[in-house]
Amino acid sequence: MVLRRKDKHRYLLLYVNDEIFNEIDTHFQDTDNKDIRKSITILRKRFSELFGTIELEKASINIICENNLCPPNFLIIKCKLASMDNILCAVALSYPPLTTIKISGTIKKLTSSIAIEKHVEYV
Amino acid sequence: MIGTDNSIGDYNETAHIQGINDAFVLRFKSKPKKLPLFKYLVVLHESESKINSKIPFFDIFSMNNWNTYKINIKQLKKLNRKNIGMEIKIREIRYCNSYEVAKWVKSIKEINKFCKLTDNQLIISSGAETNYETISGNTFDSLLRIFDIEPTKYWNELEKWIDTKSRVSYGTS
Repeated sequence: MVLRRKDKHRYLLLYVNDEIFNEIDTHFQDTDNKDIRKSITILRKRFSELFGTIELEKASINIICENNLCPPNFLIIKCKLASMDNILCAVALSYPPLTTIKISGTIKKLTSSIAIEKHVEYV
Repeated sequence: MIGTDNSIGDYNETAHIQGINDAFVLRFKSKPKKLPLFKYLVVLHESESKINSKIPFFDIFSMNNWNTYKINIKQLKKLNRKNIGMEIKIREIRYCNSYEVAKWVKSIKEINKFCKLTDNQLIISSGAETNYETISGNTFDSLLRIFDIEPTKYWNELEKWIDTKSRVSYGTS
């Protein structure tokens, strides 16, 4: 009997800089949630160029936009823990720059941190 | 440790007060005439001048081109100075295409080897000019692993290097 365990995942909270994106691509007007797919395409492209398409598939990078969790300019991605190093490198080396704000094992913790930041901002 | 650029080359009273915090190291283009009360390092950029025996004093040699690293290493060998920090900015690599990024990775590995052999220090910095370009500690560790450098060893060596290099005068020296 084979014991099958699920692969561990991590959630990354990324910040997308609107201004630089607009400077580079005039068609890309804003990085609101509806346009956030553009930045994930850039990240995926950089990842595949640096580490190859096989590693990209292994990393299984997905956008999380459940119930409009991400505020404007923020992006939550889900990826495999085993590919974390490669993903962080791709994030750091992607242009326009994406900034890693937080890494968490659960989406609840990640979103709660956004809520805290929001609360602090408004207080 | 945060290094902040001082493009003016000289410091004023506000910089003087801000700089007292030990977590900051000011970057100068040339040695200040008056001894400051905070940590500072003199940075020489690759594009500014060629390395030769007449070159003025510097702590850090900042490289911004992957295809000139061999020439720079040769010249630094000839210069025969120890404890030089060889800085590579992630900001410079970010603008490159993937082919160039791979070349950068190779050159960083070579530079690290050279630094180990000649008692110099490799410095990987974000080179951030805006808040959005800053890089987290975790990301730095990942990058270091990609460059075949053990992160804990690297940070320890860098801390030691900064301690020996950054001259805090506090009225003495």
